[in-house]
Amino acid sequence: MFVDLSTIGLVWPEFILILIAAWIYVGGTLAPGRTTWNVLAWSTYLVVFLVMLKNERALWHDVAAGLVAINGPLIVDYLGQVSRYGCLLLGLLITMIASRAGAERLATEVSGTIMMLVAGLMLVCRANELVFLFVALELISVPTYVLLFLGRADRASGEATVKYFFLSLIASAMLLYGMSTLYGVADGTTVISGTAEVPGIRGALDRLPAGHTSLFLIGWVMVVCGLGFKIAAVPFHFYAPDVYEGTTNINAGLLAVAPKVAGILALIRLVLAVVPADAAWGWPLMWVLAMLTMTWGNVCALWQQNLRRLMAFSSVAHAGYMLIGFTVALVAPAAGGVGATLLYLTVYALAGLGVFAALAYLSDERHEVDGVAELAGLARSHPWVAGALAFCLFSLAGIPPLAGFWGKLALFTGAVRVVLAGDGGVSSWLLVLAVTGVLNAVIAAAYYLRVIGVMYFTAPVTRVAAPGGMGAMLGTLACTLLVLVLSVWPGLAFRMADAADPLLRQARPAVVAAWRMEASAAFAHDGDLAGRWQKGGD
Amino acid sequence: MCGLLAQITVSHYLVVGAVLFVTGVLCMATKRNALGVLMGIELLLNGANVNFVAFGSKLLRADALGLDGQLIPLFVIVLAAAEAAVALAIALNFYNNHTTVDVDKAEELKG
Amino acid sequence: MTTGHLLVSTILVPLVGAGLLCGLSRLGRSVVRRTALGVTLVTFTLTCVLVARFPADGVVGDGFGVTTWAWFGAEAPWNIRLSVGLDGLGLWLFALSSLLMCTAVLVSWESIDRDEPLFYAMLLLLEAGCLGVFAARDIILFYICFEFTLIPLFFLIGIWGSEQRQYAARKFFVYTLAGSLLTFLSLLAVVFWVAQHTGRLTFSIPELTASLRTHPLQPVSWQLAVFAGLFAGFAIKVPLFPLHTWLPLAHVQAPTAGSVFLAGILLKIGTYGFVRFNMAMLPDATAMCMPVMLWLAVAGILYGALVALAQRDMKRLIAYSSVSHLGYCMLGLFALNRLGMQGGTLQMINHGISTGALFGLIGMLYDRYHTREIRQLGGLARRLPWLACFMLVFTLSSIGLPGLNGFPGEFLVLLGMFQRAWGDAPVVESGQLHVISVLAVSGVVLGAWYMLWLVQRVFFGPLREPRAAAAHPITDLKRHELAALAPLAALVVWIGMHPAFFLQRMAPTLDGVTAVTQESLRNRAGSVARMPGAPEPDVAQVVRQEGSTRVR
Repeated sequence: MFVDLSTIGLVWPEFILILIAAWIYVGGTLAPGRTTWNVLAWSTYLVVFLVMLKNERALWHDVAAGLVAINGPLIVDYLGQVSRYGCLLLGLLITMIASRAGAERLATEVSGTIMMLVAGLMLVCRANELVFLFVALELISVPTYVLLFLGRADRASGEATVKYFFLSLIASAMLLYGMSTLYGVADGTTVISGTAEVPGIRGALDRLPAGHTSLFLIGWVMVVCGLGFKIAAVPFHFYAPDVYEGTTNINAGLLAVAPKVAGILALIRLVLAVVPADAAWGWPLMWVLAMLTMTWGNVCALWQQNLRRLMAFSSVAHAGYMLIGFTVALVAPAAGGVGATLLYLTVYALAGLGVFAALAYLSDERHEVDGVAELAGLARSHPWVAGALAFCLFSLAGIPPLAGFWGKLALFTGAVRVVLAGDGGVSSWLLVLAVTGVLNAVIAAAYYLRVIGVMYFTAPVTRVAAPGGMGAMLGTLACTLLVLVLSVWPGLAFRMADAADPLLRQARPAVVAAWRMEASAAFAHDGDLAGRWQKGGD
Repeated sequence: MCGLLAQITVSHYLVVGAVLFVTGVLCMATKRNALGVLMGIELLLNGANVNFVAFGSKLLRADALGLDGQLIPLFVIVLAAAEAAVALAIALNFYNNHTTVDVDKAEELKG
Repeated sequence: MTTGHLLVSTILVPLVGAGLLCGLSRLGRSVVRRTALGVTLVTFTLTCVLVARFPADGVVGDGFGVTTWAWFGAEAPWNIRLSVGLDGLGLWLFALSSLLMCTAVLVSWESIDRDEPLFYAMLLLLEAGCLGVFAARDIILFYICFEFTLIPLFFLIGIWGSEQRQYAARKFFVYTLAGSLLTFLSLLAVVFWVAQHTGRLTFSIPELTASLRTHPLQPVSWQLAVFAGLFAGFAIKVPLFPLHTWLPLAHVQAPTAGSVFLAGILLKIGTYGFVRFNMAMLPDATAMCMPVMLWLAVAGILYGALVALAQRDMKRLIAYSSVSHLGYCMLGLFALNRLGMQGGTLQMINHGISTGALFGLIGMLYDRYHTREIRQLGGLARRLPWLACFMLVFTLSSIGLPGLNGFPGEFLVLLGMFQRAWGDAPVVESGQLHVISVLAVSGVVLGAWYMLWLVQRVFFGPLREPRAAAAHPITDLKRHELAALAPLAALVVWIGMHPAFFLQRMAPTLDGVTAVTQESLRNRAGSVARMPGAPEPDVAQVVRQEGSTRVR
């Protein structure tokens, strides 16, 4: 039952986005013009957001209570709900920032492609089935190729596009290969199943006789490698600096955020969900990845003179931090590692996007701001942009009380809790991880401070024009404001992250069993859905 | 069912899939022509496809689930076609800038 | 207005003021600096009211002016709260912060000539951060304020500093951050240890301290690890001897106001942290580390003094003298007895006042002569009599002349140290402790030597001025400079004459800490050497005796 009508009812927002994106593509060739179509794109995101908010009130109520519905390839839970709204917000911000991207004639293609990408992201949020997940990830990758292609027309851009394209395809192929193995081991493609008849990968693995895990391990490692490309984890990160450098600031911002969100969500859905709770082999791989990723990313970023290269390495390092959360989650599911990762991801995405938005505001297609040195004296020529940039950079560095600190607080809390639980070997390994993590934060601070220092402490060399337009300006402000809000009122974000953590939900005894939504009640505009939730077997 | 076929199990297909996958990786690593690299990717994807089909085949496993193992490769093939379309555009763009599709010429960005 | 509201508004006033100054950025220089001064004066007035309301015997029970808001929402498992309150330890540092900020604004009155709104906004943010540190009752709030102070100081050094300011700003920031992040891990470890053993996740410092008394961190190796993490952050901040290398650079490069506040307040955050967290929460580890800490302290005393002797730059000299003086604070605190603890805490305040003022004076000299080289100056007492007079007062206070504030502080510290070495229950390392005590006393002599030598070379002897300075008239102290120094000088005399006023208010809180560490020390010695009946010498009595000596 890959498709039934209720499933389509659940993904209507994605359908609308794809339809509007197609309309923008077609309409853009008939009636070119940047503003009209941008406004259409913005209003689409807004309207979809608001209508979703209005229609899904009952659903929100249920998922907030910890209920989970499995519907075809979809899993409807708190994580999926929250992250879908987040993706819409992300789409709105990116479209805003990219409102002047590319040549006038291609403007509609940019906003249409971004909308496709957002639809893909929203599908990933609720994927509970291998093929669905794969197709959704491709719905993110293919538009990314197109955006890179549209970005700039010079040698560097061509090279960046080719590199990203091929390496991303390898990653997809590895992911697919891993999925094929999982499928073989588990006799199915559904990750978590609500019914007894279909065990789901999770259920099948629990029943797998001991000693039969080798094939599963191959698949698992391949999947982690494939998704590692998406989040730019070392050693799959090597495309990132080149691609960021070769493309525009707007595209680099997109690359720093969208694949990372998709990769993290997919890791949560697939990798964490299928690993048996008592698996002793899960965390060492993540541990090694986390250590390598954050250290290598930060150390390499130290001597970068190109801003986008620097941010690329910093985005690698942030991926490493997020992997700390995964390591914690694999060691102790109840320690809240996934929630911490989600919080960190949110904060990182907003601040990172803010940095690139500010850079986009200072650039246009004739001249991209490249070098760190080009920002010299920005505090005098554009004090507000410099302020926003410094704010986002401090947040990325995790200096309290900015939002980045809350992300680090959540991550290190998880690690410290596992260390204190005192499980011999694991505890000391995680202690090493936590200490490496904080030392890395120091290295990170060193290069972020270099950028801030250039903006504030040096005299302007060349006058920086700011041709990026109102959209990029608004995008910068919006990101900065959101980071500010998260800094001052972190409580709600913490609670949402905890509630979204699927492992915490599994640990809660009352709602351990998966719940299956009756087909007819999949999407209801009225009334209380709770009455129609039906407890599944298993 | 002739004897030869009866001896063939899923594992044999898995070996074929693995060989295809490794060939694809090698092809991507050694080919300098962008189109050659693209072919390598096709090999990778099809290595995975063979796995899917083999795992899903009722002929090879009594307890196989059935059709979905064969349906998944269809999705993958369609995706690969879509990617090939994008690849052509990208390769053309690369050619415009570099007057070649030799990916070894992509060497400007490093550091 | 209740005390709680008063306390909260004292912290919020500088924050609001900083926002106001950013908004005023179009207005002229005089409006900006007057606004800044107004804000600091309001803060200081509020602080004075707080000090006046603080119970004279220092017994505050659960804390003074405690105000708490749930920050993360009431029902969350994360009950991180915005909780502030004062006790005997925090009170004087809190008060000193608000006083020294007035000084900092006044010494910048004419020396800062660009981007004034941003400058004063940063100063006020720094003040708010420091007030927050000393008032925080929530461990996360403490840490936030602790690290937040780095941001304004980074900009203060980087934008308004001297030639090497970029490097100095970054080195200062990264160096301090490296330590404080390890501190962060340790604080989390403390919180979650308590959560594991009491089943209640709390971030409140008093609750944590109380819980750790009943459920001390076990085994001791863990306590030592947590101690080491806390040490990393606080010892860099203090700075203890091998970790002090950021300090001279930061001081020399910082603008005068930055130096004043850095020396006066920010270093004290380190010593404050040692008392608040290391001693009160990890008494066993403290008892074990005591000899090491004392060695580091005395090494700092001697090293700082000897290096100060060799300096040619006045600001560097004072910076190294800070290393030496903070060594005394640490020595007193880690004597782990009543006398040493009170002396160390009093010495924190003394050092804040006198070194803050000395940095201010050197800034004033620099404004006039554009040099800080000792060799280029001489005989300035004739040219600048008032300035020289203040310089002498603060120098004498810094070297501990009886009658001025340095004396009771240093005296109590040394007394505490001697009591630890000879008087108290014998500890394992008493032989080492004897050596440390003697070395510490010799530091006093060195301290007098380099400070008096500095005054002698710069202010006495034949008049020597840089040639360029002759072009414009050199005037003695201006009104705003006088206003900056006079309150500090008054305080120097007040503490010197009547230290009991200050000691009484801090005593009960410090005694609480001492009691815990004494117990651990006794456990460690493995025997109850001190009979339960024998009381420790009464500090007030000692001070009285000391007063009578002075009269004679």
